[in-house]
Amino acid sequence: MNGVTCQGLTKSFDDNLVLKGFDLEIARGEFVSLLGASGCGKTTVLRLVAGLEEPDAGRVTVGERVVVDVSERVFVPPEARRIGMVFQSYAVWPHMTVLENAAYPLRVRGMAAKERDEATRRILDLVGLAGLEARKPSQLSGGQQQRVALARGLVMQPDVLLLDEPLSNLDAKLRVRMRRDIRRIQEQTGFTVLYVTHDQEEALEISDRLVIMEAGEVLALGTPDEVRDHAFMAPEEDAHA
Amino acid sequence: MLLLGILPLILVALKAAGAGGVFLETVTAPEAWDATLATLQLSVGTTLLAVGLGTSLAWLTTRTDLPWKGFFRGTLTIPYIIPPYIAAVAWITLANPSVGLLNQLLGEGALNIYSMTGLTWVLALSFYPYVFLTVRAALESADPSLEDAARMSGAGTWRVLKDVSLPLMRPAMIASGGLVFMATASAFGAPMLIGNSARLHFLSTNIYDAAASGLGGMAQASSLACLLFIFALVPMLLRARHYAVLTGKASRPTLVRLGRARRWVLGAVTSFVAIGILLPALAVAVTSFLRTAGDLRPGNFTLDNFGALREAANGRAILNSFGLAAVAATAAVVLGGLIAWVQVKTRTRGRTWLSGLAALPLATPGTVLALGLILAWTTPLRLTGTLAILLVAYVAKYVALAARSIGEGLGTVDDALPEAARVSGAKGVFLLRTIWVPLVLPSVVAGWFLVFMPAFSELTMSVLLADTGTETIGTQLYKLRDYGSPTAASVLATVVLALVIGSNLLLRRLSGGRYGV
Repeated sequence: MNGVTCQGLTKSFDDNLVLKGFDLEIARGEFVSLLGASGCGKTTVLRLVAGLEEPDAGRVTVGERVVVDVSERVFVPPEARRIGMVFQSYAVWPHMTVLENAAYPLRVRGMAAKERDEATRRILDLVGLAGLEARKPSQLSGGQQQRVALARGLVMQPDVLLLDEPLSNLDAKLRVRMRRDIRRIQEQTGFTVLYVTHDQEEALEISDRLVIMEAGEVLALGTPDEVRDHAFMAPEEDAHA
Repeated sequence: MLLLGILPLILVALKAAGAGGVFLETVTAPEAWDATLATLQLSVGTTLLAVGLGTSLAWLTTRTDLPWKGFFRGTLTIPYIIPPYIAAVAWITLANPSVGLLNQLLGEGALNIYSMTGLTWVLALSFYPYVFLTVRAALESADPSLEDAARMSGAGTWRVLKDVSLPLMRPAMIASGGLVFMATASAFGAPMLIGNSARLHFLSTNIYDAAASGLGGMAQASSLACLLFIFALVPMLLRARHYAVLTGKASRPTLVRLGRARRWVLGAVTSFVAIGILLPALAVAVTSFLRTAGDLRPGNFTLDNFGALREAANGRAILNSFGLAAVAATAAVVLGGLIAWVQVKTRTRGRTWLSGLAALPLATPGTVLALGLILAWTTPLRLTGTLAILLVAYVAKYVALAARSIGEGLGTVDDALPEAARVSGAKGVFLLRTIWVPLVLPSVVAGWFLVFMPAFSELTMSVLLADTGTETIGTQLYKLRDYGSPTAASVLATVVLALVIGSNLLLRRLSGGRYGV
């Protein structure tokens, strides 16, 4: 079964070619990481799948549905793709409570308040935020804000969840706990994950398969065991980047 | 729409150039030379005094153990929001040579506001807050350990001040001094009200006189406007110089101990607040209750003056100003919002040019801009003599204030916040209503007030553009003062003071202290 398929994705910003004919096939329910240094194009892949950028060439399929195909002039805007996404900066809205933040995708779809609250509380419970529903983001720790962003990405039960360096702003101990939680939730619910990171150890532990990228191209592709040597050959990322 | 602000300026230049002979004749005439010299003298004097006052007060209220710092920081910024012509009205009440309230105490003729010195004093009191606010911000963001290091190296208080603090403040002093220079050269109300009686003529007042003498004077006025515009460019050139940005953690500064001088300094600063800020405000307020201006005997107090508000022209002026300011603020927020959006959130080519163009009318002397609007809107579409031309003037002049405020607001919104909403399925109006509006609203409201306040009390452009029926509170006040009705003028001045200070308080409350002074 198809999860996400990218074919020949090409993208440049101004005169800078950041992605050169990127191909990738992800099976349904698979957990795939994009690993590489900053500027290698991994975040661009994610944003193209999300629909936040339009490719110059190529095609993306989510499930059986073509969401973008440049040659066929198909472009489904991000709000119509039904994809969950967790941003590096969390992007938790400061003017909404935890519950309002997480419930937003259901509110957009016009779900009745009672039903919506129930569904959202179930998700908040799953990510470990039960009891904090009425808090404002400013009253949360970094790790808790991260969980709000995760809950928001999951609340509409998407088939695909995109994560953009979700753990890079957390301290080491919390990072290990969060990635185990993400993996556990994914195994329980069975959605497809595309996960962007520059942390090799993280990618090797969490993923079914890894894509190692460099300068807009795929350097290596395979299971953690298959690419382990490649992974440690990839340039080490500055932790502050 | 931006052309509304820029086109007029081009027209002024064309008018001056087109009247080649008149231009040369005008700018080489002795009157033009005298006016240029007087403008230069006034601007330099005011700038020096304002920079001196503003810098000392900023240093005293951030770096020393002067008591009541919070109170001083609050009151010392008040003149920032009060139009200079109101200050001129107040100081004429206090220090005109014959019946000025202070001269009644000190002896007739002791103080004479109708002089270059008097005018410099009034304008410096109006404009020093530019310096005070800018230098204070520079001192607050400068790393106090720079000064501590000098102290540990053995430098005494004065030595630290001279070797470290002053160089730290210098970029802020130069930048804000440039603004004061520009504001003084462009000022119209105070130089007209005070200068006329002292037979002092400036570029801005001469432009008004020439333009007011009918369409025949427009070529002459445009020629002088070109001269004045050169004055406005000077501070821009100063600001173009590159300054190192002050960085560093803003930890608590070690306060300079004033020692035995503390009482004297406290006395001096308190007297300054009392004489420079509270006394003029009080003079205006009290005069609005007097039957004859300048006579403080109990029998002379009355409420009758406020009957002036029921007079047709005065009532109309207040309504006009209120309506115009509200509509102009709303239009400026919409237009400024678009400019800010293009500037901050898009990668359109030429977007920096756009905001530069939007800021140009703000830096242009009001007299020059008004002149351009008259030239631009007489034919084929005739707006002169209508409320519409005042509205165009206010929007063109102040749209940059709204754009800046909204731009700052937009700048704080991480791109990921709306992106997260789009991925969640939100689009169009729903996206706008649930994400953008709540995040940006405070800066929009602030932008609205930042346009409303100066537009409500605007005089410089209005006096050229308004007509019978389209009076504004500024022009009406100017007329009353000019035709010798000081008590009625004080009533209008009190209304302006109350409304401007009230709006400022409201703005502070709404923005949680982020905007307003």
